[in-house]
Amino acid sequence: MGQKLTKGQVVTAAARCLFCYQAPCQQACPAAVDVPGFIRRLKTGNWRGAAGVIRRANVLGGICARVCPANELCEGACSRVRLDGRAVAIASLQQAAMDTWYSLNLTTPIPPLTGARVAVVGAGPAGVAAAAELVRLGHEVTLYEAGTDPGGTMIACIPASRLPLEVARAEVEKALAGVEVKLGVKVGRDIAWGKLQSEYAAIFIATGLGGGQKLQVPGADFEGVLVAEDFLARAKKGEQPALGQEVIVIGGGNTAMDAAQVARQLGAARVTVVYRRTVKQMPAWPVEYQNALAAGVEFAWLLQPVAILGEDRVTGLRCQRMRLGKADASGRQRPEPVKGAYLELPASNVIIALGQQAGPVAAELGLATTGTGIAVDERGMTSKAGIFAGGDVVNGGRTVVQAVAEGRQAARSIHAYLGTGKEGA
Amino acid sequence: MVVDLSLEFCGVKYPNPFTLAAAPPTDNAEMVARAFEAGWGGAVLKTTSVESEEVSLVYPMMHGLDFEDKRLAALENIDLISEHHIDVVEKNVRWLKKEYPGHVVAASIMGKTKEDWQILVRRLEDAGVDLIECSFSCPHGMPERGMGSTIGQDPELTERTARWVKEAARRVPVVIKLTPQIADITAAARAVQRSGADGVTAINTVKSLIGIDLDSFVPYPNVSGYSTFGGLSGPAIKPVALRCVAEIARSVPIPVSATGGISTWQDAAEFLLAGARNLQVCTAVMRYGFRIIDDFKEGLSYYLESKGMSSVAELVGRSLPYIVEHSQLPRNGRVVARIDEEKCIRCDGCYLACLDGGHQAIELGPERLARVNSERCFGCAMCRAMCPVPDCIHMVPHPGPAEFGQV
Repeated sequence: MGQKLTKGQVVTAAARCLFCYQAPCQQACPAAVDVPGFIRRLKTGNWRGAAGVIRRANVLGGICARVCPANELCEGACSRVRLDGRAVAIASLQQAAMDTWYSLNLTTPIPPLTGARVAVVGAGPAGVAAAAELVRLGHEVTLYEAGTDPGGTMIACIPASRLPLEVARAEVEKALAGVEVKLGVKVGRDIAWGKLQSEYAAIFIATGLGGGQKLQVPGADFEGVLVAEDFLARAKKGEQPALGQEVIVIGGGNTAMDAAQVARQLGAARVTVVYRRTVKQMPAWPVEYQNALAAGVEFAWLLQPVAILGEDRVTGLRCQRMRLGKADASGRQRPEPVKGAYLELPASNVIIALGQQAGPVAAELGLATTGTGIAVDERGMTSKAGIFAGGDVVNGGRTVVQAVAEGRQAARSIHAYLGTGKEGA
Repeated sequence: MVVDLSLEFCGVKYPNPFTLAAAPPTDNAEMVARAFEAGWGGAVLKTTSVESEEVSLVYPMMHGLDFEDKRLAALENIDLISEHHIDVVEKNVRWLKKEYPGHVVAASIMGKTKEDWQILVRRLEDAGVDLIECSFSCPHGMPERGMGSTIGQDPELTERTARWVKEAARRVPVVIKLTPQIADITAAARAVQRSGADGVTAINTVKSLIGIDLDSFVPYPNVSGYSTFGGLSGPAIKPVALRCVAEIARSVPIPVSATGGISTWQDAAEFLLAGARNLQVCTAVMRYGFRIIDDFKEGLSYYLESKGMSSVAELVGRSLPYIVEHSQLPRNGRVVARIDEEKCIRCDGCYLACLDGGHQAIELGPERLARVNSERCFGCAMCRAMCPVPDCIHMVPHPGPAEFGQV
């Protein structure tokens, strides 16, 4: 996650880059940003060129600089680590390049139109990246978004401390230059999929996931039980959701870490993350776990919630004690109940962070699916010709940069598809 | 083992060879006193001239050259000689010699006429200096008045002027400071030798234009909208200075005081190996202060000790036998690059250097491990020069036939 650098720090940080040829940082980046290329330009003060290199691969470079798990991706692969133990500050440099470029307030030329119309459904990172790339390739793009703001879950839920609202909004707005954006239009409800299919030469589906899962236990509808995604979105909007003193967060992913930290920021005295396996199996990034610890969040391992306690209002959480058994399909040790061992924890609120469920789009369109979402081929095309998909709706929910990469790739595939007639139809 | 750093130069015994060059750090007696307290062996006071020579300084007078994130790879100045009246310089000499009799106090002088030069020598000799250095080499300001490098660029003028100075000196040795801005610096050194002067100092700053402001188009330093060519000093000119010192040391028997980019004890050792008997420093002092003398002396001492030497004099000129004409270089030993796989960090920089700047002799193996194709490698060593890992690429004897064209 990038830090803000001064101009002097940019020069110092950029000078540490070894300018590898088949650069491992670029290979580790889902969007394949030419990292040595933009760092070389930063080093010479060529800010416009640096931002251009980033934007060509990742039109949401400023957002990704802030939210990417850089230590797992580009910085984790950096050759400099093997020279003197510390990676080049790639995310911070990318943030500096993009922030400076936005401060110049330049406009990018929009190329002449090819005449082809493409619909993009969903304005999260995949949809925005696809729309931007399609415009750059000369296509006429309409972006449909069910919500009131473009940017998707990324903008709505990632805490402002990591991704300030104004930074994200400004970048998305810039990325969508030349795109016709229709907000508050839910395809399949407000407009039929069939209408899109008849009016557009191709469709890109990037509707993401279908919202946070609910906990299927008694008491799940008590007052004080919150879904993490809704909680984070309300907090980010500044609504300050009312919390009591004892907050339990259920789940072990990054959303759980974010929700726990935000609960602390909102004043909860004690925030405990309850997870059914242990820290070793937890899907949250290590850096997110560390951030949560630093924020004073506590962790209770090997607990499976079985009931939310209370009468209308939450007073606690009853959990089954678990132990680790054999590895499951994901290679992680499967938690197994310890017979007869239960634990009750007091709670004023329970925040459910069990991930999001798949949306209804695949069923609505009759598209083939995989274990994670809509099935696509190497071009990003679904089982129906002319309908492409990418981002969380395909991969089941990964990183912002992964969604950007899939959106951009799909846009290029759509370009090829449109240029060669309806090949494969 | 105690290492003796004292070194005699032109018959003057220096407690150590580290001397402040004629420049701003030696313009005041108080500064020189602090340097002596810190441990410097000697100082050449900032150049003085006769009172009729007007010194009209302009500001700003300096500008640095950055290399990537490093400041001061080089420094350009358009400074002139000391603004002090010669009476002040004489007073400084007297005071310094009284307070610091064990340290070497040299004066730098610059004149136009025979009378100027001879008056300067006599006055400073009377004041008690240990050595006179004559600037025949300042590249800016003075040449347009027939002084500085105008003299040093003409061997005849050099010989004649040096002779005037030497004639006037009764006691102190006379050293001529040369400019690198000459086709053959050994011609100037031979002219000094013919004049009877005692030694040479090499080199003065290199005439340069350090950069241009891309907004205003005015070069640096910007003096109210105008600039002029200046003199370059600092690490960037060290290789030029080292070459000049070696060339002079090979061609004349008179001793050389080296100056030009000496910034570390390693630089100092190299100049001694190239034949210098005295070392002058300015830019590194301006950057790091007089305190760097400690590292200079310690580093050089420990180095000498590691070489089993007890005196710095043992180093002088030791590299000269290894410098030959290009045509005399051995041509029977073919080498190739070898990359240490344990040390290689897989940056593949050597691969790119050889691909775009060499002979396409490095191939990328599995996991981006660079490997040298010894059939294609000519042993140019470009890869070794750019590799970011110390001691990762070595040049080793070619495994096949020694002659080119037989592979």
